[in-house]
Amino acid sequence: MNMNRRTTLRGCGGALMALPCLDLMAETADSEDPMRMVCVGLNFGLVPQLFFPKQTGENYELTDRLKPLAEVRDKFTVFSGLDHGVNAQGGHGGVHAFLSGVLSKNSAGMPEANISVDQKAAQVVGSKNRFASLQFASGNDPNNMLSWSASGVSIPPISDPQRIFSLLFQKTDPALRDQRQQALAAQKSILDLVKNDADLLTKRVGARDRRKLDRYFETVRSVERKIAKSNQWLDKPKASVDYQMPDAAGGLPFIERVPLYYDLMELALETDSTRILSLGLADIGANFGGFSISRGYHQLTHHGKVPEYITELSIIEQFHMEQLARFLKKLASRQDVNGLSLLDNTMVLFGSGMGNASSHSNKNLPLILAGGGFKHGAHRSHFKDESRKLSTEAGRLFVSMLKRFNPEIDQFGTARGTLDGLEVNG
Amino acid sequence: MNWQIKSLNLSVVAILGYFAQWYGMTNYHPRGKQSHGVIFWRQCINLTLMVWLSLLTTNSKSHASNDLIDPEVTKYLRHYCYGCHGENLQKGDRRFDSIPPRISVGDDAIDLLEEVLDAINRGDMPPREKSVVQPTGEETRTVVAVLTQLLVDLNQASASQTTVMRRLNRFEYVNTMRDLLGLNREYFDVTSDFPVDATEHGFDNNGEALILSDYQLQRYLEVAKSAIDAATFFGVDQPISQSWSYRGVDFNGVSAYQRAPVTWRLIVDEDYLEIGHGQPSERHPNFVKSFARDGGVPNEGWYLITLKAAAANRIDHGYQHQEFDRFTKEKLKLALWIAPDAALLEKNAADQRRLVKVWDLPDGEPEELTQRVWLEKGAIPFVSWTNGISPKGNIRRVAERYHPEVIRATQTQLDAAALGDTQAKTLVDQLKENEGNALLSEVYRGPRVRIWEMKIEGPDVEQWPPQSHQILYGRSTEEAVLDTEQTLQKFARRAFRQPIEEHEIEHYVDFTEQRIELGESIGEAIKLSMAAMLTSPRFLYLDEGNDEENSKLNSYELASRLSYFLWSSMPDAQLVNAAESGKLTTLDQIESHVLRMLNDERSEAFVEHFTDTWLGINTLGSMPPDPKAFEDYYRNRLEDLFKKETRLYFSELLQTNHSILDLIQSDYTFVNDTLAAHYGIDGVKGERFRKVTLEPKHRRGGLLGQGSVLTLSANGIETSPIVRGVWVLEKLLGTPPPAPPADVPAIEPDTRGTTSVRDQLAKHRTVEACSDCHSRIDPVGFALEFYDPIGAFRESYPMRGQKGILIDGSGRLPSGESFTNEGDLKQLLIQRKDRVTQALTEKLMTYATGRTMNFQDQGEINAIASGVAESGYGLRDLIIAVTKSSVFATR
Repeated sequence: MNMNRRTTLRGCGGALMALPCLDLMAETADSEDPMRMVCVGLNFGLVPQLFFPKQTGENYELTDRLKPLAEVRDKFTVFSGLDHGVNAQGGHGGVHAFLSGVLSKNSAGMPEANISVDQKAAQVVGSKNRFASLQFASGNDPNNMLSWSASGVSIPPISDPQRIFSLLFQKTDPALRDQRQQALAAQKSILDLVKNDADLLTKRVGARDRRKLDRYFETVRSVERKIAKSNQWLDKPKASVDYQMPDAAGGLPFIERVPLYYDLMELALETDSTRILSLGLADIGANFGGFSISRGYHQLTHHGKVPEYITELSIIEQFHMEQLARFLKKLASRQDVNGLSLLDNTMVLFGSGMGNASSHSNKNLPLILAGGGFKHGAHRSHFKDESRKLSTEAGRLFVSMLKRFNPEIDQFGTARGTLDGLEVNG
Repeated sequence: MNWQIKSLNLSVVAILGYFAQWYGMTNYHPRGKQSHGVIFWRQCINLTLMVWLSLLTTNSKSHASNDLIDPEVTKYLRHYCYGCHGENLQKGDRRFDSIPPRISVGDDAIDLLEEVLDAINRGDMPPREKSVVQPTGEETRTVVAVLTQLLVDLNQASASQTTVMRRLNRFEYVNTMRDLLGLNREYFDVTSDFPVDATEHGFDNNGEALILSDYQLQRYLEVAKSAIDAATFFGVDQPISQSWSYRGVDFNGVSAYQRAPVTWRLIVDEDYLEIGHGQPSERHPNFVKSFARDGGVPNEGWYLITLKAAAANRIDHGYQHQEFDRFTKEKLKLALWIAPDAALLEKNAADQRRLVKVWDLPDGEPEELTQRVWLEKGAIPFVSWTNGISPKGNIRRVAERYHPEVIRATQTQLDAAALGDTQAKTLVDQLKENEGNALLSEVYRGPRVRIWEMKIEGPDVEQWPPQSHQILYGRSTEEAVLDTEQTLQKFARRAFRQPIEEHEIEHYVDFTEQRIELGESIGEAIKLSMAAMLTSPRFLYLDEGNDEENSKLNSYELASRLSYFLWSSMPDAQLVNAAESGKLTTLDQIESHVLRMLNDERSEAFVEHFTDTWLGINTLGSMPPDPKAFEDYYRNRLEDLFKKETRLYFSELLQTNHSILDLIQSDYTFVNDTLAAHYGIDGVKGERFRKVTLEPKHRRGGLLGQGSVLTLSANGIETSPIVRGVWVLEKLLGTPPPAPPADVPAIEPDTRGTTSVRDQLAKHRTVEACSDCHSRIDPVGFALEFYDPIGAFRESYPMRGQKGILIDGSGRLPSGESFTNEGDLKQLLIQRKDRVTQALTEKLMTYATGRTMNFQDQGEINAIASGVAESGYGLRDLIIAVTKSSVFATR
């Protein structure tokens, strides 16, 4: 009998399987090729009729939504017919599986839970930079958590641009640094102490409890690694950038804050502070986010095909596309260490775990992949059967992306194999 | 598997198709077993699968178990699958002819069958190719039903019947830290940035589901140290109580008459502060400038806040404006808030501010209003007009109508004029004439809140050192006098909730002494060891002994089970003493503790958290109502009021041992003036919540009449009969329907026409695959269509600003009973009172033990339920019965 996915899990003790050792993984990546990944996720998707091109291939006509990207047309691919199928169904409750293909509630049996593609990539390249990865979001939307760790928890994103800026670029006060060092040392000794308790319990309890304690030990080891890394970076000065952050940026309306997130992502990549980023764009916040619209974003996605609502919704969606275009152009204009553009070394995935908000469908996700050294410039349909709308696992796109980080990765989540037709530049 | 059950299961397959969109709300899908984590649909099926099908017709649960694979399955595989996955060909490395006829827990073939089911459900297999023989729809449905049932049974059979070591969830962690360290929970909520706890059927205390992540452990490390620091007062002198007194002029207002009132926060005659409007999100706090500049209160502790305030022009303003209408019925309300530090007074920084009190203001002459509050160091009290009118253009509209002579051009108009907009230019020129006229603030006489004085006195030191310090170290604030070992021993006993042998904490004692030898102060060294204990698995996990040796809880474990059930916190000294002296053994002894615990205010934790997780009240806010369409929701703080109503209601049942059938229907509820207005109940005045008697015309009563339930079962934009129907089946009857089958295409709603939700659903119910399940779900939801997405009663659907189609709340249950509205439906639910009681019993047992109940537990659940039914359905009786059950006393 074939050794299928589920037997594999069972054999390895399911969720208790050890995480891959980060340092070892890092060495397998090519240090000459600074590959990066940015994932941007919208919570309400995009109106499909206005997003997906009618024609496939290279000569497709840009749709309304894609028009802002005209200048970088050859730098991205637009996909249709990709989604996570039944594994991420659940309307708004399915959106958080955008980058993992696995609902959080179904993550327990997976070897790396519902790990998201950005975190998988961070396992490979994360150890090289000050931040293994960073997560930003325009607001705290539980339905639009993008990044999920290998232990199945969502990684809390940062929303205040000022905080992001400080984290990345503000110099650490020497006194604070000493304090921080002491705190880290204290934490390290605490972990040494509590392992004794875990040992003591392990001897006393039954097998099922022991599995819980194994997990505890693993977590302790993981935190120890993090502490060691933090210590290591404490002495190295942060990168300097020439960027003027507006005052009280956290209180700015959505329409003014979103460009800041993109700017900060570009700076974080350019300074190599991190190689892995995710940005959740969800809540437009108070006062309609500064858009001239008359209803909430969510309300507008329930447009019921009423033209006025779609028109207002388009104002927001077009903004998203314009901001993406601005980001891609900026990346394309920066040269990276290996002589290529920053965009060539950065794969930017843009899309949503929502396929069509109006019907709460998580199928046929709007997806764009830009940069990252792939051959672009086309609309690729991955419907296996156009008439029945049978889609292909979006996870295969993620496998294609991850392969650039570690050629040995050939499956991700529930998907196996790369996406047909997506080739790397020679 | 007998045929009757199998035929019932045929309908399992016939799960809805077309409108996955109605499912699109969060939290609809019942959470299922997570052991395999792959198949969406099968996971969503739980123990109750087979029962819900007979829902509303039968009153008890049944269980079937068999390990024989139905010949229908084998026949199907042989006919349609073996060709590619059999002896001759093994496409995709799959071979089905080797699946044995009998199957049991642990067999590899289970995985294969799951894959088969997945593939059939997805519609991927058999492939629709000309060369492949296709099964009939009927055949496929049968096989899916049979396979689903088989896998559910196997899953059940492998499910554990004991608890597993479980991590404290966020709620329990906060409460435990508060009690362990003697801290004040009012401000001690350090878990806001903890990862969200995983849930199982809504409950977040399931030992299997609760996992530990490195983020979580890092936060534990950080929080432990700072919490211990906050509890410790070595070398700190008793703070001197102080008093600060401020007048209106000291607030952050602008002087009246000096400039056009943009903020409408005016200081009048240097005498009082006038607040001219509220803000839905309290964006702009009204506070004393110098107090904030000086950094708030210098010491934490209890403070007395006194305000001298009144309302002006509540009714006699002479303006006709919709925003003012509410004040004919209700008083102007003043809210007292706490900003934990000055930065949180910034506009928009509302997240961590605490609302501590709302007063109804007297009209005219000011009165003194006082409130005792806990203030952390640096905290700043501030006020707002909580039911104040919204400033968004409303005041200007009043001015345009009643005081046109004071209108000046707005900045936008000036800008437009400067850019050459002729229309704007004309307007600006016209308005220039008003430049010399009075300002709006001089002539405006709309309702206002006036503040004459604010006094802050404290801290009120009841004991020194504070309780927290005394609990940890005794009465002395001298660290040198401490006995390291004794201090740690005492702390460990409480933190680990068990008696502690000397050798068990040896490593902590050694560690502390080493640090002292290295020059650290005794206090710092002890604190670090305590922080370590708070990161230990012995603190973070509930340890219930070795289940392989003995699954009965010892008395300490039982004490913890009781305290985490009823208080969501550690056992108190009385419980521990009882455990220690062997007085927590007999059922009478247990009962007397339960009664004591329910009478203790800590049992509010049970009321809050059980209703939160059972009913999903904690999901309120996850799909926030549209700020425009449902402005009232924000302006009237409805979310808070809804929660309060449900908690008071449940608490009433608990404290008075009222019948749990009141959860379905009753003639009372708890409201204040604002909530009463939302519900259309007249004659309720003031902010205070009180019990009111409901009349039939109010169309309320029971949980299904409460705003909390009606809002959480909508998506903030529109209602869905499906979501509400599923909510009733799952929460009240304990029989959640299975999830829809995979890959059914969604239909996009079209609201341009005049079709109602009801019509759209009716159309789709004619689809055979959908009809069986939806004929059970939809009718229940139809009866609740009388309530809009924020629980307000309605007779018709909104139609883009106009009156739309009339609501039709009628329906027919599969059992044949018809109803015309929610009142009838509640009657029909009451007729299923046994099922309702069993369902609640099961929910309570799940919550009390931290594990999913399985079919072996059903006997005891049913026995408890029928016992409680005999004694009159009292909630208190039910809880006592749960704590005296053998399920409760074992792992």
